[in-house]
Amino acid sequence: MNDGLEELIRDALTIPAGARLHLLQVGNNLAGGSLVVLAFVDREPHPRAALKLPRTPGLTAALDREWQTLDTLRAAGYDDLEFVPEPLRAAQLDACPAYLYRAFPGRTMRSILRTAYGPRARERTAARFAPHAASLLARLHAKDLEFAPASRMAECARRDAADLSSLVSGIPAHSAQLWASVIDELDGGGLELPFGRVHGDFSPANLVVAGAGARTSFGLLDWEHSEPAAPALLDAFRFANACGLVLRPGDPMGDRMRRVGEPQNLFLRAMIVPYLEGIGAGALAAELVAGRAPLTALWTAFWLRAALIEQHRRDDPGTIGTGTYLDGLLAQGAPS
Amino acid sequence: MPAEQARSSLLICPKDRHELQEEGASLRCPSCGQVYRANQDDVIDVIGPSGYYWGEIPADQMARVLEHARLHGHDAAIDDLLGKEIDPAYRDSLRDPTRTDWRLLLGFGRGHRVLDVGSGWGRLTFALAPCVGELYSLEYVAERLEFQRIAREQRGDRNIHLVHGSFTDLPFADSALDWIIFNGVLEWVGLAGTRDPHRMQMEVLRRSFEILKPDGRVLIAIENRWGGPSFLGAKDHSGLAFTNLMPRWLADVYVRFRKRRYRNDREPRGYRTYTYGLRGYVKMMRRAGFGPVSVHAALPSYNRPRIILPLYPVAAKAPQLHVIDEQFRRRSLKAHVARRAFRALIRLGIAPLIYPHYLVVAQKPHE
Repeated sequence: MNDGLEELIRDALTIPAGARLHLLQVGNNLAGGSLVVLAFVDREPHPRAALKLPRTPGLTAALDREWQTLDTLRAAGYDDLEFVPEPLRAAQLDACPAYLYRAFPGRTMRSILRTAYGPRARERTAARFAPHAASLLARLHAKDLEFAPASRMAECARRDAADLSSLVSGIPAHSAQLWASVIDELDGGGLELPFGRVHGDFSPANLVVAGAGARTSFGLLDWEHSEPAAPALLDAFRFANACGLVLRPGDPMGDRMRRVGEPQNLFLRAMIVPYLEGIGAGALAAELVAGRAPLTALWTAFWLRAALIEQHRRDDPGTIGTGTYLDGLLAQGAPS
Repeated sequence: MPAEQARSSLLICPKDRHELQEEGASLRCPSCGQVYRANQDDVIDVIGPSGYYWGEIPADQMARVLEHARLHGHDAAIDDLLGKEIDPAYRDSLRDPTRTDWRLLLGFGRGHRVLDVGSGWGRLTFALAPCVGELYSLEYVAERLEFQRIAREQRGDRNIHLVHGSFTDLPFADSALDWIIFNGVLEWVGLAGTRDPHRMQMEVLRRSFEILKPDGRVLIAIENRWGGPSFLGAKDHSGLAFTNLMPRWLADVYVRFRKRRYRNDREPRGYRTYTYGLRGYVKMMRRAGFGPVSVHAALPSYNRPRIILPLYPVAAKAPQLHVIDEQFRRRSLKAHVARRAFRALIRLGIAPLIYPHYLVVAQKPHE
């Protein structure tokens, strides 16, 4: 056992010397590639703390960025949001940075979705959680929200398209054309869109759920992609799309996009509309439901961002390879 | 610390255990006068040409892999040649950085001097090197060591020292190392001779104890003799199912009867790849002289340690239940039954005895 690790956790959690501490390491080679050590205190069923460590020195930047973000949020009065992780201690363990957070009990929503029997049960489960997700997002975004013309969104999309073009070798001509037309459409539209602090990677894999009914509690993990003044709809769209990936993994991305635009769609009704109403953007919600908002353009703009996030653009200076989001994005509008 | 300086103070003559002294590019035993080649490629050879080859691919293909690695890089050799010959999962694991994920939990430090015994393709060596002080990679098969040499040269790792030697006679001075790693090695020790495999394993452990510094630790990544999959017919190291579950004498008779041969053996020579249960490993460590012993389960395997679960001296139930709920989360009948069964085994305290792979860590106490 790494004595420094145990000492750090004991000290941060003020665990008395008599109580036993059990460390469980869980890690995978996905999302950020960090190692997580869960600290269980004797006779307690849930982990009390989660220690995040970079697997390789190159991943330190992402973990550090997450720590800085959560520290800033605490100072900015986000501590009344119970689903925002509480940073406990940042330390150096043998020259390796370590970040300790209070752990959330429960399982991730993705894990819950995957355990549901069959596609219908999965959809029901998703529908059950969608309003909760909308409410969480609305509470998060409401802290620091402003409305701005869609041209600001077009500016973000232009930047993301440029980033993606520099990272991916050989962007097809049809994709470049499509992105240009999307940016033009947003630029010319008269919509007012919400901007503010976004989580950046709001997906079922990062939403921890515990309890049931009125006692349901939530925790939101992995804040390394959080940004202070980004298009707020990004989180809602990302969540809808990530749920779609779990519910219908075989569907082409373009189909999923079209489906979200349909008035009867689960996420439009159960999540995006309640979310917009929650942040006081009822007019925009009505436009979306009526099919008057440029949903395809919005979705494509968010998709550009999602492809970049998925490929960890900010920590990987090299060119990026294929991935679920990028492949779908490049296939969009391809000549048949 | 320069490599030459470290070498002369650490390595010993395998014959009479005197510290080797540098003489130009070679190392010389001041007692018996034996000269050990430290060739121009900076590989320290303490056993000379063994002529022994073992590997996942035949020797002629190995020669092609080495040539390809020299010309096009070690990664290209894995992708272009090796990848076509071996199990894809094994190939991917050669470059998987997650395989040394235990290093932080177990306390590997940047100043530590580490020995990786039976390092093979250098899977652990190269993953661990950036995180420790000095790393000694000991390998018996010259071709595999040559692959590591090429990789080291191409990667530019300066803290890796390659040693051509045998695990039956670790050529290091007493109290020289902070960590010794046996990753999937201890169970194969019996193949290096004809004596009782258990006795040979104990000798290796006792020698490891001697060459560790006080407070130094040994890490043994190994299968559990009583691992759950074995009861369901998973193959043992003998290549046959259930041999690990049999009494040793019966396994020996059975392996001879089935005419199973290990690696390069021309004739079957019985059952020689001994594994043990949790208590068996703890007992072995204590008998070898080690002080505090801890055992962790490595899931799904010690080659892909995604989850590291403490089992000994205390196997807390909450972390185990947490892991089992995550592992068997699908709502199928099979997963449901497995989850319920495992939860019952955890509550009864039986589960720690049947996890398939263990990480055993034992510490050398102060004098």
